[in-house]
Amino acid sequence: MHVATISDISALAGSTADFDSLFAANYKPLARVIYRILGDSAAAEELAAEAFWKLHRSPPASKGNLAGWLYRTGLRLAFDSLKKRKRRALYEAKAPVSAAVQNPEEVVNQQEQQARVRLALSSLNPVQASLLILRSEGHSLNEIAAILVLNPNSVGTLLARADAAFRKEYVNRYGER
Amino acid sequence: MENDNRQWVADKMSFLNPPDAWNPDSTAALARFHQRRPGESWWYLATAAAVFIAAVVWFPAGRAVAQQLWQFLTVHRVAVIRVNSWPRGIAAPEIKMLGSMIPPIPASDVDQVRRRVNYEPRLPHPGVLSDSPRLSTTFSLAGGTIVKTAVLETALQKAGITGVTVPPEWDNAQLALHTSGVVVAEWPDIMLAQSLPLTLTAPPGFDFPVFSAIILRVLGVAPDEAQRLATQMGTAPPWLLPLDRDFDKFATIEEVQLASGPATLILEKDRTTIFWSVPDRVYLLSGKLSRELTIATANAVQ
Repeated sequence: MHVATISDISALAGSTADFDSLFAANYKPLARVIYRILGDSAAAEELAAEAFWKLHRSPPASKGNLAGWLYRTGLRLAFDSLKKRKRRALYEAKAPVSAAVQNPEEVVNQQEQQARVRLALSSLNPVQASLLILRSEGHSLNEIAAILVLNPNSVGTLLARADAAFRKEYVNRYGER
Repeated sequence: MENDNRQWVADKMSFLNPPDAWNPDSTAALARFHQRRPGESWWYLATAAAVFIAAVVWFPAGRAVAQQLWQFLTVHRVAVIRVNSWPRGIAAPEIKMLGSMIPPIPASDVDQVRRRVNYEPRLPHPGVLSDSPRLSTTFSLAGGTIVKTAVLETALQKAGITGVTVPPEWDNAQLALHTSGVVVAEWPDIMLAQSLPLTLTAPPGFDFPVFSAIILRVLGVAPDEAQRLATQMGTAPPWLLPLDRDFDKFATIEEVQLASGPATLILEKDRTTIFWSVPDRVYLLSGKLSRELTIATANAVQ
């Protein structure tokens, strides 16, 4: 499993070299996180770049934890984009499926599962949805706490609640399977 | 139950795993990022181009100017009048950019620029600036404000103006100004942006002269003068772009005379900006040149 590392960038002061380092360290993991929400690689790369644009043109007052700022911005952009997608069926049809999936029936089944998971996720509050997305991408509790600006001691509890909320939402819509 | 939930959710979330074959290329993405970013921040350029959006620009007075200025950069002309400040405690009308801001797109030469924007870009005489400019274009930009009748009524009241009625149908009316495609030419120390004259959109029947007169009255312009100016502006009403309240701490503003007519010059510690309009263009020139060189360059635009 790919595990992204939050770069130690607290000392970044906005120079081109620093910005490039920040970009190199965080673009790919951010795009992967966004992909999980949208299921569209082109859109994921575009929104990851957009998060960097927002950082470039309107940097936060504090230079600490810029990577966390980027992730929060990317997550927000992705969830906003997800909500704006009206033609979900068409959209999901474009999402690629795992190479391990062999036959048309499996393809349809996987696309349907992706759509269900994303719909259930989009019904959660943004913090809960972000918690689940970040954990599924392999981030540690401490990394999740840093990204979402949460107390590290409470992340486990929040994740458990997010799990329960997601399961309830999903089961209410589609049943256990 | 908690662990059961976690595993169940993990199984579901695994459907969202990115495909193994997908590998975002951060090096290529960074190169694209730098291509999008001209020598100066594209956001600054877009913001500079957006100055065209404002038919009225509000600058608190510079140290050299005793009073606050409302600068009227209308669709076709620049004029400066002196007024009071917007009443304290009342939110001033706020200009916001509309739609997505797409960064300038680099262009290889003037021909490509011309084809994109459908007008002839004008640049300073050859020889005025040493290098050839780096050219780029933007799509049409739009900015505007939403009229809030309650705010206008409170502002009138606070300014002590009675007998003026704000039509209730103005509430939430969106007023917007639009540029054409903007041409941006960059040299090492200065940048020129230009657009065709602005166009204005508003709800059908919106009475711009009356709106202008109300704004001017709030700003302390006498009723007769407000009416005269408002009528004169016709369909090019005053627009408000409040800048930093501490503007006067780091810049001065003055009206200067170019060969083509009046222009407004903003002098900051390390930047000089001048903007002006002629019947078929609006221009903004900004950079690190001195006041005199900036004026000379503006006069050389043809």
